[in-house]
Amino acid sequence: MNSFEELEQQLKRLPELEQSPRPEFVAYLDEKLQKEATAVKRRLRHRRILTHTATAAVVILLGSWVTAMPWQQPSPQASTSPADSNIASLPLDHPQEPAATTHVAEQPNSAGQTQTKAHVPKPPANTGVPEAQAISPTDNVKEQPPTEQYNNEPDKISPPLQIAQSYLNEMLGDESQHYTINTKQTDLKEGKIVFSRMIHGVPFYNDSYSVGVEHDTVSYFKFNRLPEKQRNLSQFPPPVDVLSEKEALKIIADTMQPVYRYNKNGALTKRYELDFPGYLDAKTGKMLAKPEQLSQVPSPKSSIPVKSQGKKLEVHSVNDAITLLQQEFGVTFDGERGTSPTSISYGKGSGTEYTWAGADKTITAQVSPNGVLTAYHVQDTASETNGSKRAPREDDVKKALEFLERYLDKKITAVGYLGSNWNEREIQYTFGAFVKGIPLKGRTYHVTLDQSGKVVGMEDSKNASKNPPLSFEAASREAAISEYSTKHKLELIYIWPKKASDDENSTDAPQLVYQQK
Amino acid sequence: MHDELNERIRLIYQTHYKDVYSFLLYFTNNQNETEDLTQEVFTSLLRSLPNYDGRVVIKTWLFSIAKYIAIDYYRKQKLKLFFSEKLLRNIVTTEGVPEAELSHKEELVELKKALQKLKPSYRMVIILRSIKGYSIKETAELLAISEAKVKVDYHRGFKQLQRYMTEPKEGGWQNEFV
Repeated sequence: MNSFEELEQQLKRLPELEQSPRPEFVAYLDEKLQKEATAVKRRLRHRRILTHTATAAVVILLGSWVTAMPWQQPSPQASTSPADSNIASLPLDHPQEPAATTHVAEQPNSAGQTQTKAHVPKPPANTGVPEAQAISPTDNVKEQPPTEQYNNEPDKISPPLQIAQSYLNEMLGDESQHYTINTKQTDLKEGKIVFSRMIHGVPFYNDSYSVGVEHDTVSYFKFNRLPEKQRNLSQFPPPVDVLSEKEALKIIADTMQPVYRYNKNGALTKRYELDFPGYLDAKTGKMLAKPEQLSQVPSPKSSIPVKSQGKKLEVHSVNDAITLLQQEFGVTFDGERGTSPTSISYGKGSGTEYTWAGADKTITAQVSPNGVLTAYHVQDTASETNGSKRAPREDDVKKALEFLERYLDKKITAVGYLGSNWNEREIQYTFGAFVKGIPLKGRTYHVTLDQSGKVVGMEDSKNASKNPPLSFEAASREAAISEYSTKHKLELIYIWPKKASDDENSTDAPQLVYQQK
Repeated sequence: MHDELNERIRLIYQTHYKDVYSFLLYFTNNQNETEDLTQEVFTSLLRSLPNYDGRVVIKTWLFSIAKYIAIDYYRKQKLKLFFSEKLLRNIVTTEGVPEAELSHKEELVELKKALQKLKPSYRMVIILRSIKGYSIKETAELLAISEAKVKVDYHRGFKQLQRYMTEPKEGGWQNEFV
């Protein structure tokens, strides 16, 4: 009673009891959403009108003021404190300056863009900040967000940045001046404004506040504050005696290496990619791993030559899948359900997944959208386990490789062992591949053996990374390095890495590092 | 522009209301609550719709809202039930009706009740995978979790469900929170 299979069947029958939504509820909600949509549009329209009106008023005011002022008058000092000017803040400096309203009126040349340039505050006077950090006034002007954010009549209109800034000021008081808008994480479309801590003019993204603004009101306020110990500014090394951006770029560019990848059409292509773990210590030039990049599949450390046979595993129907599993892998369909799959799932872009759940085993097969079997697995669900796990064995790896090389792409010349994981019933070996000694990225191959050492599964797995390395389709390594060096920039930031418990040499202190901008 | 938003929300609503409603109904096992939660999901979506930039598939977005609203509902229920614990302890469960064999429909009703006892993450995965028939990959996308987590939660949820379904039907309390 209530075996796995029975339960699954019962669950599939649950829709028999499903109550459809009441028609009056469906109609009511439809009508309510329409009314709400109208209200939302009305609110957005009012906001837009107010924004335009205020912008026009400012332009008129400035225009008349510029006309009335003698041009010889010396430029007043810009208002932004140089100590707070930094990489993160500059592109959005204007909208977040609470005092922008009055300062605009004091700038004689602010009506024209070129004239504005001359009055943009200079980068921090701290000479230790690398050259690369200094953002030119031209950049500042270029990166200005839409005029909506620059209106200076906060009483009349409330653009999200000003609302968020005012809210932060209220919440933090004087301390808010140490936080500037983090352009990397701020998403105006989503109404999310993030403020990060600036120390010695360098951003410290781990100390930040996030303000949600929806329909001109603050919808949430989140903070990511550090423990009191980490708020001690004396522990933050000033940005002096650090590598210049150019030097740092060169060190990172030196990690450029050739790789092979399958392109969208399934063809193997040679590319060049950085082997950069995310951070570069700005003082020592040592590479440091970014936590989110630790999940990337590494290249195997050693390679074992293989004679890939490139056997095709084509499947165009469920019957093809069954025949292939029976003939190629010796799978038997002797469950009470015969060969009719208990479930077929169609994933978006990932092909079809067939499952045959029998009394004593569960068989699964995955077929790619272009009709190739990419994985199969036969899991014994009947026999009792003895509770002990099968440890990795050298002869297992050999057996797995002999099995795998029948189906590997003929261009693959070697594979490398990446690791194994196991439970009471089976053990799975994972391999990476090489083409003419160059690592094949984005693919791993898995072979599963049961307790008796019989192959019970195989998978050709695509690994899509959320943080893929910078990749260049260049003719040579030098060309790729040149492209990287000219098109990419670095950003100097503080990080406070967690001290690894087993690493005596790691320090529990903030570090200055470069990261990709 | 005005009509555009109205049309967009109508299209989204008409395309997806059954899926969202059904998901929430299995989650709550209560029609009134489901109606309230469905309304909350679509109203939340509407408020953010003008900023929608197409980076996420609408269905995934809707389910992510539904997921958090369902979890929020679960928390509120938990709190409510915690404070009414004494009251609940005095309610004799109807699950103890000594019937030798439950009819097919009654078995399904039992299963729906057992589903309510699962923790939200297991419940959601089982609803989407087993009842609604989504693949592992689709379930992972809709719930914004990894495929590995889908597999683990599915397996664990199933084990628990099996246990609840084979537990003696007599005695016990009607709610997991007691």
